[in-house]
Amino acid sequence: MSIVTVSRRTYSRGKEIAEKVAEVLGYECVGREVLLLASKEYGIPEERLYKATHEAPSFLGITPNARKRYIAYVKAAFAAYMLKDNVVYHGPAGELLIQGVSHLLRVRINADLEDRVALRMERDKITEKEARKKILRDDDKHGKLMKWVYGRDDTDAGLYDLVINVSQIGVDKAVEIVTSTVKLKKFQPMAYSIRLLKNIELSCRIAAHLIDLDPDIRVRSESGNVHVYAKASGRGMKRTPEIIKERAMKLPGVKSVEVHMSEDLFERIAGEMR
Amino acid sequence: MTAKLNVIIIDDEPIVGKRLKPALDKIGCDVEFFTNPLEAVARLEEKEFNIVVADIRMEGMDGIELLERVQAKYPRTKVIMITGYATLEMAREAQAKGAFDFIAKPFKPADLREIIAKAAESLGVSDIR
Repeated sequence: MSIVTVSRRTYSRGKEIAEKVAEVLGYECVGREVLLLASKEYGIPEERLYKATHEAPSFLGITPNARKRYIAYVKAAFAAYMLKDNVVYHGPAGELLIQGVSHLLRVRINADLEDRVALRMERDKITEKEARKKILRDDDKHGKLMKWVYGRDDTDAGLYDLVINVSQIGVDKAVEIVTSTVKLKKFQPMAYSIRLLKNIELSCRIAAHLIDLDPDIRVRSESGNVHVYAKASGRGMKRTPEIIKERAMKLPGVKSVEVHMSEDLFERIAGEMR
Repeated sequence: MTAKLNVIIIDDEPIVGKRLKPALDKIGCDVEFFTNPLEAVARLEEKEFNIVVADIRMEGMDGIELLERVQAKYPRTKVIMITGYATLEMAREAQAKGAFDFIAKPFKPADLREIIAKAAESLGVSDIR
């Protein structure tokens, strides 16, 4: 009755470990499913959501505001999946999308570069030089994505409960370590962690439904009582809270909504200059 | 088993006992409330309770220490920890040290009643609701 997130770099056998852990525990193993759910719920093609969550920002890529919107959708879908419990997630940034939930075991799988290169050579039928170049390029892009999009360096061991070097430990032993750790009492759901996860899920769902109003909107929920923090300018200062309340109150699980507005000074100045 | 459930609540905020005691009395629990953890420990020396509900942050003795003492003396007793300052680390520590459950304030008496019912069930007492 817990959740496991498996973070890894490419060709580190993280997905293989996640799948085996799910099989041993009888849990559902999810990665792409989260994107499919977000795509279905919010009507955005899966490919766009994939790019927003997997590819580093670039000049010709997704605009920053669109990326914030897509990430809000993926976060809401991710939280909905986590609420189902008994889940192993191996998609990006699982340890960052939801924080503070005590029955969520955050695992990081590392592998030595040489092993990753060898695995890539074998799987992609390419030379060592090509494999090394591609892996280093992927790592660089992934590092930028984590830093720019999620604001954290996912190689920081402090983000995880368990960090395993699969090159030293091996896949089977890694699976054994993860499955035995998740059974520890401290990773079992409690009234506190279940309520926290429910609050997070509701906050993420509301944010996803309001993100078009303000890409930096923040939502905090406590047992259905919701606080929304948004910014607007000019006439929006009066109209936006009304729209937020109206939309949020229609969502299942919402009992009350309090809106905290701040003025978007940048937008106001831009408006005065138009 | 239909015996009455003995519950001790320890919280340095009197309002907690004032709200929780009647809510638990109503479902057939025999409740004692203490604001001073040292007095509660003295009472626990005299009597075994089925369920201990304790705040984590208290003057004189923190809830985790109390949890350890109860676990050592009465391994069957279910200890439910409550706190207004819940963190992931605190929740995991309480759970690892044997707490039956952990709940963050503010909560409704009905939330605690639900946990008490689960604890009662694990003790073989089925008529608590």
